[in-house]
Amino acid sequence: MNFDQVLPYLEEAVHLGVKEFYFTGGEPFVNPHLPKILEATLRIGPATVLTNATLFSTELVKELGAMGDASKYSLELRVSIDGFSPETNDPIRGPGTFKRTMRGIKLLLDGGFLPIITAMRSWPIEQDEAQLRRFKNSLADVGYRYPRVKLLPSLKIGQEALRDHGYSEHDYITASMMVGYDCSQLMCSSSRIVSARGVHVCPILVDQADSILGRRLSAAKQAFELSHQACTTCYHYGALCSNASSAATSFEKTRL
Amino acid sequence: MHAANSNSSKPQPLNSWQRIGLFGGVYSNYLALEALLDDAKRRGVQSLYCLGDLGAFGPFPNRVCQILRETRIPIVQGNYDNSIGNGLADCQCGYTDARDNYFAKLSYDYTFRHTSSDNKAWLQKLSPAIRIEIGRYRILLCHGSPRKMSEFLWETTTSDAFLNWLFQKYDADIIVGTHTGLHWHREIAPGKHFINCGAIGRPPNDGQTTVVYRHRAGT
Repeated sequence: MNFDQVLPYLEEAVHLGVKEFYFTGGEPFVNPHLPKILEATLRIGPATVLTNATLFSTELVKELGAMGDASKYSLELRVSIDGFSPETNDPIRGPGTFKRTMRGIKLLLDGGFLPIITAMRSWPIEQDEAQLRRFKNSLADVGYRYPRVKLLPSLKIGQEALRDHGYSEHDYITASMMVGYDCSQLMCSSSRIVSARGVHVCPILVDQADSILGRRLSAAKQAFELSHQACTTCYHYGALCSNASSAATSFEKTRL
Repeated sequence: MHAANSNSSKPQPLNSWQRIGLFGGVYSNYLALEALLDDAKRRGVQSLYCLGDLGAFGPFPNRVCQILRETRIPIVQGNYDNSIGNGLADCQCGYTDARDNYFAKLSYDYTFRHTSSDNKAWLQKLSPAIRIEIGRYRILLCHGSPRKMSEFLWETTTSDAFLNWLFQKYDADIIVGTHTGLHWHREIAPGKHFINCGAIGRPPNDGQTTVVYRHRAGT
């Protein structure tokens, strides 16, 4: 989307009281209009860009740093990675991407950013500690000693469905599961995503035809039935796409 | 229980000249609470309001409850109070780092074990919000945000547009919270203020040993 396509949504967002803005893709920095879009966004609210960090240059990072400094709101860069070495990351992300992502993270650090490093949990949850230790060692190698890390649960769609067998036929949300459930944990209860095709319910379902709720943000506020198997992952892990780490809040809040 | 706690929808009108004190995040630090009571008295604060999170971190949770019950200070329920009062398994603090959650769990389990059942029952009944009016200002006291007890409203991640939406939706001129423990204040339009009053139980990660609360005089 170019600047002129995005601007009406930003104006509408102010009217609707939007709290924060996220930019995702594909790779958002492929879009040459992104810096101008970010500059406009940072005048009205905080912005986060989800990136693979492979397209950064010293100049671009400097430009982003200046934008963040000029705004009263924060500019966050969130870097996605799928493994802690070329051997684990590159088969999923593409040849050479691990090295390029690490280089991008170093450029961000040198430019004064503390990027949130996001990794999808492609291992059993019990291995979190060991996997995170390895991950932090890789990040320490590029000078990120106290990294901000966000772990995402596996969403068994697209390529991940082929790798991890996808969802089972039982992975649907039922009415009884919603009794007493705190819906504010679900991003779709308070967020929408805009693409060139319209306003979608969430970024996970963006390729599903029924995810488009309207052309304008104000016309896309209606409730959405949690009818997709991927909805079960959000149900269990909460606000996956926000900057906060996704905890398994649905069982953490049980009684002592 | 204090009247203001039992009905959050009925605003408590105060005289326009009244000086009020707003504090939160006591975190079982009864010494800080005692120091605040002395300081507020010295400054001529006539009414104090607590915005919640009485427990955590400090060793004597019952001492804070005792002081607040004796002084009958109106209290907004924080996520910690809600968890301890309802016997939940965690503090609903919303930490995003695994180490934070590890230490939070130790602290929560300790606080839960060392809070009397009488105080737990009292914490459970605290109100999620308190409304007061000073002169022309309609003031809404909450813990995180008016829409969610544990919502983080940081200074750099909260848009004016969102605050404006909160003012309209919740019919308030001034909204005060404490949840993040980091104090800040923004006037987004004449007479429309969002205030985080800070926390008195521990410093705001600024390398100092001092803590923060707010006092305001109505006009």
